[in-house]
Amino acid sequence: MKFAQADVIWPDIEEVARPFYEGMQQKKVMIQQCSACSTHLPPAQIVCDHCGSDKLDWLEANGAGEIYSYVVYHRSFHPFFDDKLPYTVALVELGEGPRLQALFYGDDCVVGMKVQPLFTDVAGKHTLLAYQPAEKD
Amino acid sequence: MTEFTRDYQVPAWQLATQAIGSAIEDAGLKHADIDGLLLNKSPLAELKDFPMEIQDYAGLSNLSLLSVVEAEGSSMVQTIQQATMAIQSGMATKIVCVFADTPIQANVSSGDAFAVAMPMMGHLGIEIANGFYTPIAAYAMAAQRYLAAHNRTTDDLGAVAVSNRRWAELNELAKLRKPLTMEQYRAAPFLIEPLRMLDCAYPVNGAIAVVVTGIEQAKQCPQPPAYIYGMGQGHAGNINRRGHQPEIDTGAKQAGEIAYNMAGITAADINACQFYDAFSISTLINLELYGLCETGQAGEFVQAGETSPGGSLPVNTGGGHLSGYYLQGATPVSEAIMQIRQQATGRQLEKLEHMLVTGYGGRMQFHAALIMGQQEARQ
Repeated sequence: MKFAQADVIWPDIEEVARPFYEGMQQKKVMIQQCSACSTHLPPAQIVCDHCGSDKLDWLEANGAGEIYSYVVYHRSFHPFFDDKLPYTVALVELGEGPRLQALFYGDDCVVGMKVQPLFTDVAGKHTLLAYQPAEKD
Repeated sequence: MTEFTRDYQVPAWQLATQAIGSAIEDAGLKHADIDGLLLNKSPLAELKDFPMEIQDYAGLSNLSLLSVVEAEGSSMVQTIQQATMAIQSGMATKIVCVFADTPIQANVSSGDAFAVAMPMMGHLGIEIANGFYTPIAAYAMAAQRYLAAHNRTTDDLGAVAVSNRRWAELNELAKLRKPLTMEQYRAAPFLIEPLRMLDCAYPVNGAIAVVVTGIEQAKQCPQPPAYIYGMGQGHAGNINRRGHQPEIDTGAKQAGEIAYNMAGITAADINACQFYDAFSISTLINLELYGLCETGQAGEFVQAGETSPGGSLPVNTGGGHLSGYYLQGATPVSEAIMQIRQQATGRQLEKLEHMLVTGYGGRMQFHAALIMGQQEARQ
C-alpha cells in the first residue's frame, strides 16, 4: 500500500468493497449483514466472523454513531494533507455495531462522543464519508 | 550480530550472511554442521534484498530445513519456535534463525520507509482517502482507546519511554542514550496524537542470527546456552465491531497462557521481559495481557519504576525498540540471549530463572512468545 504519486489519495477499489463506495457517492453509509446469523458487519467482509457464513448482504446503515477512538495528525505524510494539519481520523462505532474509519471535522474529538455523517468532496472527483459531532436533541 | 547503523552500507542479504557466519562461529560450529536455516524477512524488504539464496551466500549446502517465516513482527520468535519443533521432531539438529533489514536507504529516510498506509479496515482500503498513513497511526489509535478506556493520560506512555531510556543509558549497543525526563517527554510535540516521536521505535540497519540446537549439543558449545521452557502464539483477529476491541485485547493473552502452561509456570514466575515494543503503548498492553499487571494498571506500574533499572520486573533491558535499536523481533531476542549468557555489560540482571521474550506484528494482531532461562533443570 505504498503511495508513489503525490496526487493519489483515492484507493484502488476492490470488488468486495464496491457497494460501500457506490453508496458513499449517493451519501449513504453501507454496511453488511450476515444472512445466517443477522450479525451486522463492517463493509468489505468475505465471511461472517461470528458464524462463518459467506452469505452476506449489503444494507444502508442509519449512519449515526459514536467515537470509539481517534488520532490527530500533527505531521503530514502525504503532500495532499500538508495544508490540512492538524487533522483527525476516528474510528466510529455505528449504532448497528460495525466500526468505520473516517475523518472527523469539529473541535475536541472525545471517545464516546455522538457523531453523525458529513459527506465531503475530494478534489471535485469523489464523495468521502466523514463524521462531525451530532446535533443536540 | 552485525553493527547497527543509521546509514546504508550493504544490502540486507549481505548483513544476514555476516550475522549467520558470526552466529555459527559463536556456537563453536562449522558451516557444514548447520542443517537448518530459517529466514525472517522484514515485511518492508524487497525479495531481492532478502532471497532464499541467502543459503548459498552463507555457504550452507547441507540443509534439511529451509524456509522463510513470515508473520510480520512476530516472525523472529516464530523462527525459534519452528526451529525448536524441528529439532524435537528430528528434522534438523542445528538451525540458524536470521533477521536482517535495511529500512534506511541511500535515498530513503527511516521515516519515509515506514510512511505507508496502514490497512486497518481490510479490503475497504479507505485509509488512503482518510490520510491514515504510517504504522504510528494504528498504534496511536490503540493508545487513545487504551487511555480513554482506563481514564489514563499520556504520562503512562511517557513512563515507558523514560524506562527504556534508563536502560539504554546502560547499554553500549543502544542508539539513544541521552537521559530523558518526564518533563522533556511532556514538552515534546505530538507526531500523531496521542503519540510523540519518543513513543516510536528507532530504526537501524543491521542483522541478528541465533543458532538453535538440542540440549546436549548446546552444552558442548563455548557459550552458555539459553534454554527454552515454553512457547506460544496468539492471533486474535481484527474484528471491527461492538463487543470486540482488537486494538487493545490482543492475542498476547493467548500466546502467554500457552507459553506459561508449557513451561509449567505462571506470570508471577517471570523475572524480566523483553517485549517487542515498536511503540510505547504496546508495552503497557503487553504487561497487562501477559498477566504481569492488572488491566489498566500498567501505567502506574511503569511510573513507579518497576520496569526500570532496579525495579521489580525489568522490561526491555537494552533500551528496547524505543531507545535501543529497532530490528523488529530480533531486538528482544538478542537482548534476552545477552542477559541469559551474562553478557549484558553494564545492565546485567541477576535473577534470570524465567524471562518472557515476545514478538508481535501488524497492528498487534500477531503474537509469539518464548519463556527462556539459564538453567537446564528449573527449580
